[in-house]
Amino acid sequence: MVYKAFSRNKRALFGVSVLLILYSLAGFTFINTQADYRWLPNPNEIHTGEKLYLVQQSDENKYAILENLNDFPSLKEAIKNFDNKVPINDRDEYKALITTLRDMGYEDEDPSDIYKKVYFIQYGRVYKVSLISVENQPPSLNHPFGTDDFGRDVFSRVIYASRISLTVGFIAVSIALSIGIVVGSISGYYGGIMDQIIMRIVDIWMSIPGLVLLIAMVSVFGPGLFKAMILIGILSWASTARLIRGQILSLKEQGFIEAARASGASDMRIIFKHLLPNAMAPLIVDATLFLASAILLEAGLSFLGLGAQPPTASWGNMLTDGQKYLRTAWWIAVYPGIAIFLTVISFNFIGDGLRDAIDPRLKGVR
Amino acid sequence: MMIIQVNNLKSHFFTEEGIVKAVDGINFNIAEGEILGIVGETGCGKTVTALSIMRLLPEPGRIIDGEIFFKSEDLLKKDEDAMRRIRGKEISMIFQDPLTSFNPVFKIGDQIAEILQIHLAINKKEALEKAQESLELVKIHKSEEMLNQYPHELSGGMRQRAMIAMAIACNPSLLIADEPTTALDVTIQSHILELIRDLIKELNFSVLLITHNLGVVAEICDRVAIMNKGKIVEQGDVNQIFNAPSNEYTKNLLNIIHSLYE
Repeated sequence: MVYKAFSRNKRALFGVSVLLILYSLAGFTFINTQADYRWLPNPNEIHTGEKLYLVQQSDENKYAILENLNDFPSLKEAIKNFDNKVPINDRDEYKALITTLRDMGYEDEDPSDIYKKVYFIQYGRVYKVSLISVENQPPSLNHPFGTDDFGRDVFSRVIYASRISLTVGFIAVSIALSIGIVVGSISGYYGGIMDQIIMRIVDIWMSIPGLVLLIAMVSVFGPGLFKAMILIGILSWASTARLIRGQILSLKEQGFIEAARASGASDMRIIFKHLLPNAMAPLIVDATLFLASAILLEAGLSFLGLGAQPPTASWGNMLTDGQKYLRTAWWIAVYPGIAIFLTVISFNFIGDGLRDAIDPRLKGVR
Repeated sequence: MMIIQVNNLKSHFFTEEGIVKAVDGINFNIAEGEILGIVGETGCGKTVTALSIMRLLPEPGRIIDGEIFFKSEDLLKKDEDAMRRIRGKEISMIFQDPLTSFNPVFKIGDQIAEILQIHLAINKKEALEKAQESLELVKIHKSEEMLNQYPHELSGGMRQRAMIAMAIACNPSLLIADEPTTALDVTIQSHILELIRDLIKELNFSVLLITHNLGVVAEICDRVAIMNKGKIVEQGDVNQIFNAPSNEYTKNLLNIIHSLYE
C-alpha cells in the first residue's frame, strides 16, 4: 500500500531514477581514460640524448618498441618507418604498452613515468602519449563535461565524487542514527529524570549552529574526509533522538507493549524487537532527508577545504577548484554544482514521497 | 493445592493529588483447575489486582503490603529477573483488546514463537512448530496459514483465539484474563468462553477472570469475588452468591441486572 502511494508520486519517482542513474554509474568504477595526444609540431623538442621510446602497434595489445630514436639517421626516417594508424585509446591499451615494455626488459622504469617518454607517430606527425588531457577544455564528445585545470575529465570526476558523497552520506547517517536511536529509545522508554537530562542535552545540541561547530571541530582534529563523515554524524544525532523519543513515548502506551511485558520480555527486547520496528517508517523518512543534508554539509566542508583533500575528487572541492575559472571555464564548477543540486533534491523528493506514502497509516487508517 | 493465594494485598498509586488506594487489602485464592471471577464496576481495582500479581503496576503505582503466594512462593519477594521468567511461562495474561495486544508489524507465528523462545531453550523452527500446535489447541483449523498472517488480517474472534494460543503456548499454571470477551460480540463471546473451559479440561490450568459482566461469570466461573472500591466485598461459590447474596453491594448489583432483564 505504501509502495502504491509512493509510486504514484511523480517527484519521488524522479528522485529515485536520478539517484539510480547516478549511483549505478558510480558503481561501475567509471573512469574516462580517453587518452589524449599532444601533437608536437616541432619534433626537435625531443631531446635526442634521452632514452626515448617510439611505439607502434604491431597487433592487438602488442607494441613494437624502438629503443632509441637516435638509432635512426634522422627523425624523418623514423617517422617514415613507423607511421602508426591506431593510437593508444585507453588505459587498458596503455597498460598493454607497459607490459610490452617490461617484456623487453625495462623493468626499472617507473610505469607511471613511462608515458612521458613514449612518442607516437601517426600520419607523419609525432605525438607525445599522455593519459592526461589538455587542461580547461570545454565540453566535447571526448569529455562531455570538459576538463579541469589539470586536464582531468570533469565527467569522470563528478561520477567518482558521487561515491564519496554517497559514502559520506551513508556513514554520517548511520552514525547519527545509531546514536540517535539508542539515546532516543532510552529517553523515551525510561522517561523520568533520565529523559529530562537527555532532552535538555538535545535542546542544547540543536541550538548550536552546525556548520560553524563543524569548522571549529575540523580545525581541532584536522581536515580529512573520514573525520568529516564522523563529525557530521556526531553532530546530527539530536534530531533523530528527539524523533525516536516521541515515537517511543506514544508506542509504549500501546497494548502490545503491555502484552510483551506480560509475556516476560526484557526491556531491551521490548525496545529493539517491539518498539523500534514500529517506529521504522518515520525513521526511514528522517534518514532519507538527513542523507541530503549530510551530503550538503560534506560539500560545504570540502568547499572550505576541510573535507576530502585533493587529489581526491569530491563535489565540494571540485567547486573550489572551479571557482577560479568560473569566467573562462564554467564547466569545472557548474557540473559538480548540478550534481549536488540533483542529488540533494532527489533525496528530498524521496523523503517527502515516503512521508506522504506512510502518513495515512500513522494517522491510524489501516 | 492452591495455585495462587493473595493475602492482604494493597496496591496504592502515589499521585501528585494524593494517594489512590486502588487495591486495599484483598484476600483470595485459586485452586488448581479452578476459575475465579473478579467482578466489579469500572475503577474498582480489578485490573490493578491482575497487574499486581504480574508485578507490572505502572508508575506511580506500588504494592505497599501483602503477600502473593504462587505455588507457595511469594512473588513479591522475587527479583525482576525471576519475575520475567514467570511472566508468560507460569502466569500468562490475555487482554481486552486483541488487536492492540499484537505487535502490528510482525506475523502471528513469529510473535507466538518469540514467547516460546524467551522461555524455552529452543530454536526458531521448533518454536514455530510449537506455535502451530498451540494454534491448533485453540481450534484454529488453518493454523499453518495463520502463522504467516499479520494481526490486522484476522477477525476479532480469531485474534482473541490467537491471543489465547499465545498465552497457553508455554503451558502456564495460571491464566489471567482481563475482560477477554468485552471487545467481542455475543456469539463469539460464548465461543471464546467455551474454548477457555475446554482448554482447562485439557491443560489443567487455573484462571483469574476479570470482568464486569455477570453473565460471563455465571456461564464459566466456579467461584466469584465481588469487588468495590479496592476491596472484595463478598466472595464464594457462584450459585451461592447469585442466589443468596449477603452483601448490600452485591444485592444492588444483581438487582440492577434483573431490572435490566425485566
